[in-house]
Amino acid sequence: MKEKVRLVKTWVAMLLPTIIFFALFSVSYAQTNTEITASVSIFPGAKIECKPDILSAGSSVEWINCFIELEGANAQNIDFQSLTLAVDGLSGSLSPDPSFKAFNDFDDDGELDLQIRFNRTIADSLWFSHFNLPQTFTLVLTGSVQNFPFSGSDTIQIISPCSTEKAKYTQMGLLKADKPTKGNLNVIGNIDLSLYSQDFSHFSGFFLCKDRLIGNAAFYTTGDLNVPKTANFFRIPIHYLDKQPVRISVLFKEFDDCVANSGIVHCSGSGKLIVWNEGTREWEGFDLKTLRFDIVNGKAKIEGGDFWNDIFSVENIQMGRITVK
Amino acid sequence: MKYKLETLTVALVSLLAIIPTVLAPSASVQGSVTVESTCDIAASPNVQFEPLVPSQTSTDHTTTVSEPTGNIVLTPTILGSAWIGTGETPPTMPVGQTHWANSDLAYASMTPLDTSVASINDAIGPEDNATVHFKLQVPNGQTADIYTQTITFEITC
Repeated sequence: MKEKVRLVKTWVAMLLPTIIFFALFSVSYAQTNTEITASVSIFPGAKIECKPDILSAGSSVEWINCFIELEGANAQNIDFQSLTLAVDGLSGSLSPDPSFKAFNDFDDDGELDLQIRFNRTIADSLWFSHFNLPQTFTLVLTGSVQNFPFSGSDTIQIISPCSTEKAKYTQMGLLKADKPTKGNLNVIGNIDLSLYSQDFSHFSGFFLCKDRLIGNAAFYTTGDLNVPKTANFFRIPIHYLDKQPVRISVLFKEFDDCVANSGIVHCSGSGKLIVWNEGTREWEGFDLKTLRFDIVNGKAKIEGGDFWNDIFSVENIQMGRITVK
Repeated sequence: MKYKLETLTVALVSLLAIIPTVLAPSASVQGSVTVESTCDIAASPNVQFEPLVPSQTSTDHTTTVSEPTGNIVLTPTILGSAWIGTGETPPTMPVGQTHWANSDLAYASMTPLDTSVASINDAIGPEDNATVHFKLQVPNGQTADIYTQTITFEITC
């Protein structure tokens, strides 16, 4: 009898795990899966702005400047050798001036831009001189950054020389309300123009174009320059801002090109910036190798510097009268 | 006479050969087979989006989900991983930039892919595949790079 009980126990011990396994197996679910891979190449987005927007045939404008702002990549990593300018629908391409490139936030939007420039004379011979005027061309700028290609476009209008005979423009009075709301006055020499606070400004000028272009334009502003100073008080250095009343004038000396119609007035050329300190009665002058203004929708933007707006930029100047003939 | 004897012999042998078959008792055998449920899943092809720039939306891309050797009808689920770029510190892109649907819809009308499972709402079986549509929208300012993402289809059976 004992032997039989032992035998049954042995069988139960052997079979029980199997029974449990099958019982569990019959009520459980199996999960299975499969994977696929999605892939994508994300290229940088490019915002391209080429200046001037309007160019007179035969004018002395030397360069077509283009500004490249990238999204998703740093403009400083742009492969300069890869940059080419083309015109949509036309053959031929142009490489930028190899001796020039500049980085700055030229459009003041917080993003770094690369400025390059293309020879206008070559662009004329390649594209612009073969068409009846006025004509609008779509400039296509391509390049690469860290082996990723980018491309962007902007338009340029080529018009006949002296399409505008006469234009006159003036800001409405010397009103505090007219002061520019945005500016970029940089360090020049010993003067930090970013420390300048403006009381009021005025901008006016004219140009005549018949056989040749003549004209004048001036921007004038008064305000205070907060000059950092240090004084010793019992040998303890004390830093403070010395508020000095100054006048700043920006004067056009030469015009390369001026165009105007009912919507816009634009002039480019070169000039001078003069800072007059009323307190010390001292002045300093700086050459602006490149100087331009645009009046669009009744508001003016003036900028200049060694190569673009690296010294001086003021915008949102409310203009009063604009006469174009 | 000899010819007749031979004919008789052949006839007798044939009769003897037939007798066991004719006189054998007849019987029928019934068999039963239980076909077990099996399932599996496959998906192809991989999704290769065209090159895009920030804020651009891709065209429609599809992948087919099937059950190559299984024998039951099931509805798979879908989940995905975040997009990851290349390099030592690769840039990433949220998983939900990929949208999916059962048909070619506008990007905004599709379902964002997620790291949690979601039913694809389309059954697969031995004779039925499901087509899943994908679109990708690149966020503003997304770093330029080559990105990959894993999309998983699951079934439970």
